[in-house]
Amino acid sequence: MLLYEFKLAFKSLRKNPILSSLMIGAIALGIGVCMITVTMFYLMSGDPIPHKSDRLFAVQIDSWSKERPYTGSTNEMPFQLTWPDSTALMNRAPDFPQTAMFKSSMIIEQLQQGSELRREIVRITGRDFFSMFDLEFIYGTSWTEEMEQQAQQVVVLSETVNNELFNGQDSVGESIRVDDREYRVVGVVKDWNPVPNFYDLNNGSIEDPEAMYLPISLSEPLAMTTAGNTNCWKPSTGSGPQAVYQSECVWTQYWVELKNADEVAEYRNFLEGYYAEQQQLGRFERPQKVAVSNVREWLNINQVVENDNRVLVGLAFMFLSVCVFNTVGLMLTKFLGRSKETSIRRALGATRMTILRQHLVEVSSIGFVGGILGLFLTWAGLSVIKFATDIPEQLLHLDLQLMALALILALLATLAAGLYPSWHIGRISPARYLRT
Amino acid sequence: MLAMNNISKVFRTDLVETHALRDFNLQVNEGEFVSVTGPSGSGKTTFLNIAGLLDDFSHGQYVLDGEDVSGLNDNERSRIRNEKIGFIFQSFNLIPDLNIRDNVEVPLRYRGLSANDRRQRIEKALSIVGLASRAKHLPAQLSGGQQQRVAIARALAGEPRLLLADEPTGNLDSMMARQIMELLESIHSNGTTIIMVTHDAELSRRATRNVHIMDGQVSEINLHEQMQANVAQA
Ligand SMILES: Nc1ncnc2c1ncn2[C@@H]1O[C@H](COP(=O)(O)OP(=O)(O)OP(=O)(O)O)[C@@H](O)[C@H]1O
Ligand SMILES: [Mg+2]
Repeated sequence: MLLYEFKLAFKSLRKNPILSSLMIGAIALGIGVCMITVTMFYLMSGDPIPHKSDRLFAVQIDSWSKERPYTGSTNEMPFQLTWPDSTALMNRAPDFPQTAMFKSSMIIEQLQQGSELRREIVRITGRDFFSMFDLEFIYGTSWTEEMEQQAQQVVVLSETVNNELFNGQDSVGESIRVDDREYRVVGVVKDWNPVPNFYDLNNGSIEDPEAMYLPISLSEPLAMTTAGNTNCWKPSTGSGPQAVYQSECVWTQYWVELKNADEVAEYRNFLEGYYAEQQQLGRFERPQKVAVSNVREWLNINQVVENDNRVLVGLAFMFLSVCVFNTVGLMLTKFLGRSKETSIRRALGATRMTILRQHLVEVSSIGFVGGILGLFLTWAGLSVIKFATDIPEQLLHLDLQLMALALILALLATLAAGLYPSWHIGRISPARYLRT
Repeated sequence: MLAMNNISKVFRTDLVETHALRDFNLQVNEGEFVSVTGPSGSGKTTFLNIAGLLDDFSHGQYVLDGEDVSGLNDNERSRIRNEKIGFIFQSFNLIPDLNIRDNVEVPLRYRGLSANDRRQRIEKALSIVGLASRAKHLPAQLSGGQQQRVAIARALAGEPRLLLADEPTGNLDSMMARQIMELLESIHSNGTTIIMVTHDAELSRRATRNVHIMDGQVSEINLHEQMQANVAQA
């Protein structure tokens, strides 16, 4: 019987192609918009480094002005540290893996003459960075403490840049030119691009992967400049690129890896001590406030999943329900156009339930086709987003779960749309439309 | 075959109440061919719809094939329509999107017969009405008379005990009407009980009994007596 009903449904869809494609199109559009926003939402609210997110901690120190608190964050502390604080922490904090870091933008070229100049995003960071954030070395290793102390000019390349500069060969020991200085390659890591890029959220939560990594120990001597956000409450004294290194402006991120609550307590303790000490020296005019936040807490403090995003998901579902309401009208029109046929079927022995089922099967077919088309729209939409944002491939692909969700959503939506029209037509009395 | 006792049917609209049948009494025996006549609006179609369980009634008792059908639910009524009753309408009432074969198949589908069983019954029914060669045609590609024969095939395919026909020749010319009448007579001769509403006095006379309806009530006239009356008048 079900087969018969599918046959009838198919016939009916084919009979009125415009009406059918309107219904299918409405469902597909609703599903597509919903799935795209849901995918983006999950991407943003997902854990970017699941196996370690409870052991990596962002450090905050309230170095802001006496007059007013920092207003950009939910815990009223600046997201970043000043350079003097970052250096103090790296030199004096308890001995856990930790690093200050910032984003820079530099010109890269090969050593031989006449090679092409390219500007790339570069991360200036400490040697612990690679193990803390689980970057995967293809060749070589991180630079060593010794190299830092000797101020050796070394660099770790990303796979992409290594492919472009060295055809993907092992480039350890080779040299390249960065901002007119020669750097020796000590390692090559796989491209690293977590979404959201929790370790530096100052420039949006989705960013291009970094091209290479330079030792932060070189940054002050070489007067490297940040390409990220810098926030100041007090004008910096002095001028030139070095001025910002002495200022009360915040512009470095600071992360520490702590394995358990004891270590967290120890570290916090140190921060509080440091805060008190600096207050005595005449800095830090606000009531003592420091924070170490794990990745999840950090994403909340930064409002990565902003209320806007939730509103967007809500709007997407509202759009879907508009599509559904629209479809209710179309289905009612379509089904009522079949009143006489339904009367005939009733006279020939179809029960109310049979008629209801026949129409629900038709509705489900519309939902199924709409769902498939919706999936296609989702795929197309995500491709555009991928193209426009450089979100890594594997994070934005349509997995089976998502496809199942889309189809189920499509079926539920169309069933919701088709329930009333189907029920309505099921109630047609057999005698009603049989008179001439 | 069927017995109606004091059946009343009232149609209510916002403005008026129409008593389509009032204290309607009729008994039809197995194997009869009853013609139903009466002026327009007298309640013939209403009677036929109630007899065929297409419509319910306001008061009274209706026993069909030994079973009181007053209290049956939709499923039971649908099953009885499907298994015991065949319908033929003035306007044929074929489903325009289905070809001839699929039209005849509809009641068999709702009976849940196997594909093989369905095919045999369809072929048999279509050959009885002489349209086996038109199985793939759409209703619109056939003449009125042919369409009505398809409707008869559809009614026959279910092998009903009772055939209800509401002015089956009303939309046909006299030539075609005669063909249809002959078909009905041969179906009757095979033992099927037939009740046929008609305006055509000649066709009416070919039934075994005539029931005349006036203002929703039966004024039954024995065909024999009627003919004698005609003779006496002359
Ligand atoms: N669905 C309905 N709603 C309201 N009144 C109805 C309805 N169906 C029939 N009637 C009324 O009931 C009465 C009997 O109608 P019915 O169709 O049974 O007459 P009929 O004898 O078949 O007439 P005809 O020979 O013209 O077909 C008529 O007055 C008609 O207007
Ligand atoms: Mg009538």
